[in-house]
Amino acid sequence: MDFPDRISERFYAELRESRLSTTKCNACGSLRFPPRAWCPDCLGEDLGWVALSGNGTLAAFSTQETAIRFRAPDVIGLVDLDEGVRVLSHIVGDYEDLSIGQRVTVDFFEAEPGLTLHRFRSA
Amino acid sequence: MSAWIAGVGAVPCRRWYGERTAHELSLAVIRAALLDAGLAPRDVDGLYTTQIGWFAPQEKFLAQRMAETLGIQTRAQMEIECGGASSLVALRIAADDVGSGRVRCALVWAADVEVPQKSFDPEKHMHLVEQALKYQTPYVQPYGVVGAVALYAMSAQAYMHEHGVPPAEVAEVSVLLRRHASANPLAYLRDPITVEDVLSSRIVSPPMHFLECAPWADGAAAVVVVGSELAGPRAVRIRGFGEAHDPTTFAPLVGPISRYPSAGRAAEDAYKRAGVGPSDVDVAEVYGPFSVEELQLYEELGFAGPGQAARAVATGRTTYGGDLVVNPSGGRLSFGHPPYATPLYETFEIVTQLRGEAGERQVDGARLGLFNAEHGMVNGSVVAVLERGGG
Repeated sequence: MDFPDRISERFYAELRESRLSTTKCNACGSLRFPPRAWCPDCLGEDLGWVALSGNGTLAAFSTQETAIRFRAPDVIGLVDLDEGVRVLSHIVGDYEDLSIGQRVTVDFFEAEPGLTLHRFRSA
Repeated sequence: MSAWIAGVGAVPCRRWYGERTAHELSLAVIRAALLDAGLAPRDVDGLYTTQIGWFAPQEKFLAQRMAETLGIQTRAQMEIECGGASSLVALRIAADDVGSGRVRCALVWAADVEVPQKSFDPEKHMHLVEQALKYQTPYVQPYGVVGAVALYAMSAQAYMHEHGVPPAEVAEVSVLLRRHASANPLAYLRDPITVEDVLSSRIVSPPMHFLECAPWADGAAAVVVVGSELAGPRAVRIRGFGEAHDPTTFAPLVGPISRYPSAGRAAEDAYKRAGVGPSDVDVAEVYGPFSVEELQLYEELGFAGPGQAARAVATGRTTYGGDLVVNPSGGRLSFGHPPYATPLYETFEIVTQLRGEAGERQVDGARLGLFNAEHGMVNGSVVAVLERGGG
């Protein structure tokens, strides 16, 4: 995968080390996902990388037909992390066995050589 | 704002337009709109258009090429890119240019010809899919979500969960829109369907069934906008536009999942500028590419309370004899959905209704009309309000 900037390149390097992370502004403390090159709240450039807990709740989920890097009946979902940010991810399990609001926790897998992605499973 | 719609033109919405190019379709609808307005190319001094499809090669200088074909000098010409809202943003800018006196006669058009429509060939067309997917950030794109449906499906799931709306109630809107389309010669899908048909069609992305998804289609439409000096007795007055955007793409990483807040803000803005409210609207065209999104938008536009839209449809409040008629054209689900042209097809329908020229599908006494377009899930919306009345 080609990364459009150094921030996303770093994000995927962190995933390879089994860390789901984002940036936090060292000046105003704002934490956002996706990670940023500078802080949109205070315009500060001094941002640090922080690892997220990887714990959250499943906000919504669905499946789709087989596509690029996606094999039906895999589940995709939106996960609200305990830190107050949301991620789109793969969800481990069958659609019928999952429910909105259930607790989930992060896990990592190599989607293709050199590309590690996050996914979530029931906590 | 003093801007009027003097003419509209369209070709029928279809699965695929064969070998006809976007430029040819554009010329056909522009001619029809100018004839409808009683104006000629030499009267036009502003050109406003969009890209020519989502899965299509991106072309440059579309407006300039049209100026050359029409042989006209202009004071404004542009191509607007704002996803499914593109041609409605173009119409808003054209109306602003006419209202401010920059332009006397603005021509707005969109032709949408989706290349893989006839048959998808992975070898020939995959680059178009990959190009289209570049709208996704690197934090979403690797997860392999290709179309909009899985993402809208998550919003639909959250909505149905939050409000306890059962699938059979949601399915009613697909049935009603097909009934509306059956009276519209421009609509793509016109054969009646039942709730059972909807619920037994295959699930594309749960909870969305095949008959709850708008069909991809090709099409083209054009609209002529003028000031009061050129507005004839059939002209329809533009009362106001609202526009609002959220900082999210199809998968919202901030804000609610079960709602379209930008559509609500755009509607509020449009109502305020037009000096009217949702209960004044007689006829509306709503940009719902999926059944649940259609219902969510009725709520954002103020036609039903939170979680009440499916019930409003089932009890006849959104069709002939109800509070207002929503999507008399058949809506995206049955009219067909060529996204770049869709907002101008909506304009065509509302103008036709307000002129009292809709024939079999005429909404009695239609005086005030509204239509909206969506950029894509949760992220942006434009709402327009039009009023019957000669120039």
